Amino acid sequence: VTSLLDNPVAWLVGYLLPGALNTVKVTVLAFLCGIALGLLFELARRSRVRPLGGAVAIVVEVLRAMPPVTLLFIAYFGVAELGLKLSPLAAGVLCLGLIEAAYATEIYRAGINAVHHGQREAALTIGMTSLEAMRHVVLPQALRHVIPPLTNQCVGLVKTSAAVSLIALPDLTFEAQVVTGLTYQGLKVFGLAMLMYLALSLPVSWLARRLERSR
Amino acid sequence: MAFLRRLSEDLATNLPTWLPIFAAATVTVLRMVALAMVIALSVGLLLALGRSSARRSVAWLCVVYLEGMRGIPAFAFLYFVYLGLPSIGIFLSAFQAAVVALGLNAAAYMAEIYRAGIDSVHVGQRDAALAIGMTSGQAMRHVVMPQALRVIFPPATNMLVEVIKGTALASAIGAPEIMNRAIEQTSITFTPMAVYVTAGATYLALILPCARLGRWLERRAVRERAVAPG
Repeated sequence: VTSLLDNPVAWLVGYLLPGALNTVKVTVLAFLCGIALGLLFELARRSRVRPLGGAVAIVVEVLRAMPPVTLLFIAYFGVAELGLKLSPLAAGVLCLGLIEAAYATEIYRAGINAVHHGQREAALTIGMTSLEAMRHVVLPQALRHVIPPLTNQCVGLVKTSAAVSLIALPDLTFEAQVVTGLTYQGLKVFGLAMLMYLALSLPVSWLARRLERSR
Repeated sequence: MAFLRRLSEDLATNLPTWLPIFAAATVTVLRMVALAMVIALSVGLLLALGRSSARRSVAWLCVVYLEGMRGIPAFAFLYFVYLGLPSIGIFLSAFQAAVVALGLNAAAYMAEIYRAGIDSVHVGQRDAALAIGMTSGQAMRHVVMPQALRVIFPPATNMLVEVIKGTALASAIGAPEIMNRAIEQTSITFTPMAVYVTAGATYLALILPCARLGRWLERRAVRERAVAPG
């Protein structure tokens, strides 16, 4: 086993690649949750139901101020005390998704504000309800402003996702730690892991930059 | 409801023990943040200036550092510093490793903030400074930087918030900060929810004022730009 573990290819195949796959999985799921939930947050904040808007504002503020690690520990170890045992993946997706939603809300807000208010008024004039105007007229136009910054957020999420290793989700950081424990070659192992993180995040941030320029 | 009652009972029983522990951990976090910010602010400035250096190799190295550091998780870099550097003979304590890793990571983001600030000052300011005989360095120090600072302050405050949040990662390598103490207490009292909620509240008490300050500075900077001539 020792000789096998001297080989970086064995680290990759046995540990780091499956770990990277889990990083991608938790990031993509959390991103999807986050952009959906973020839109709901923003619509709630804009709704005429006052207390709803206030509650969302507080939740967003807290989510943005809390270290992801603390949130993960509350969701994974704390909620288990309630008798609701979440899997590491469920807890990870839930927390990262909520954090992503908190940031996405601001992005949606800016995107919706960027659409001229005449558009909404015109839609209301021809008899659309407020929600229809949002869905068919405002949001399609806001999308253009929203996609580049959301793509940027996705890069942030890849990086934040490393914290899920602390609730024993075997992501890239977790596996790199396992290999370091077996080989005592932290420099090489984490060097390799960091390169793999770059391979995940750089293409997305290039995409974000291109989208921003072509806007 | 039964759960809320239990949570408040747990808090009532344990808070007298926890308060001094979390207070000491908060002091550790503040020391960690202060030192990491010193690294972030100074290395970040060097990177921002080095990036537009006339020497191609220096500029290129700075860009590689910036792009690379901004693409990897601070957490992976923290492990690299703590578990990796010993194999080339650099041994850091958990606290030192956290300061170095968080500082060097934040420096990459700070460099972008400096750059945006410097770019916001009209080139005519620098040209005028050079015309009256200042060197390039003097023009930066006495003319460009003082004006760039008001643009730099608000996002730098946000960076401070990110660094405070980042210190929670140092619990994983055993630095005696808030999350580390919280995990320790969990294994003594077996009340994870109460402990982690207390830890979360401690972070909020540290971070919310900083976030507020950042937003206030931002609003002020926007107002000033709106009335400033040119």
